[in-house]
Amino acid sequence: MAAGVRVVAIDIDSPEQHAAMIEKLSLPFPMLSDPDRSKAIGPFRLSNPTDERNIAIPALVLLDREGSERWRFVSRDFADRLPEDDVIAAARELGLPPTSQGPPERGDPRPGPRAMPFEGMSFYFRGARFAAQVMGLRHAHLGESVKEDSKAYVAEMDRFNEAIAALKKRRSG
Amino acid sequence: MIDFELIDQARKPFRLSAHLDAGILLVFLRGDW
Repeated sequence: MAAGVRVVAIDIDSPEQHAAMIEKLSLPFPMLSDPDRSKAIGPFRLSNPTDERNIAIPALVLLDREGSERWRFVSRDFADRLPEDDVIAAARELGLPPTSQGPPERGDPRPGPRAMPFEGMSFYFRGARFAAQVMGLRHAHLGESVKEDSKAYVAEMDRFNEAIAALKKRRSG
Repeated sequence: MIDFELIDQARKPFRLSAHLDAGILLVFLRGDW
């Protein structure tokens, strides 16, 4: 990518679940399995002790070409995600030359039992958007932070829905 | 630096230090899907 970094995702799921996720969302990067959190999730201090499954706290970590950590964003909770433009800006700060990333190998896609079908995603995001919007309205009297949080989550759901719509368009075209 | 070797979606090993000809953005996800 133009910002000089390649993307790699990590969580506790199986390679087959990852293959299914990549296929479902046409993800252009590999996904790695750290099922016991011992190789990456733990060493990067991103195990979630408040979750009974001790799954990873969603986070972004930028490494330079020496493998040194240069920037990180740790989500406050599972729904707190940084806009892509902010991530790209952080990557550009590293000043690395542009790079490219080939498509991930396909694998043997087998979604997990709780995986959401692609067809349901836009409805899910739309419902989540309405819920965040109404909570912002109902609890606006509690202060600016509630309003700001609601607004940010609505904007996040809009970004997700735009991405789903763009993917649908690309696939149909 | 923290190095690791994990299995990718095609069950191929992925060692971080072998991919440092560029910067890397590690995206940690909740998983369990």
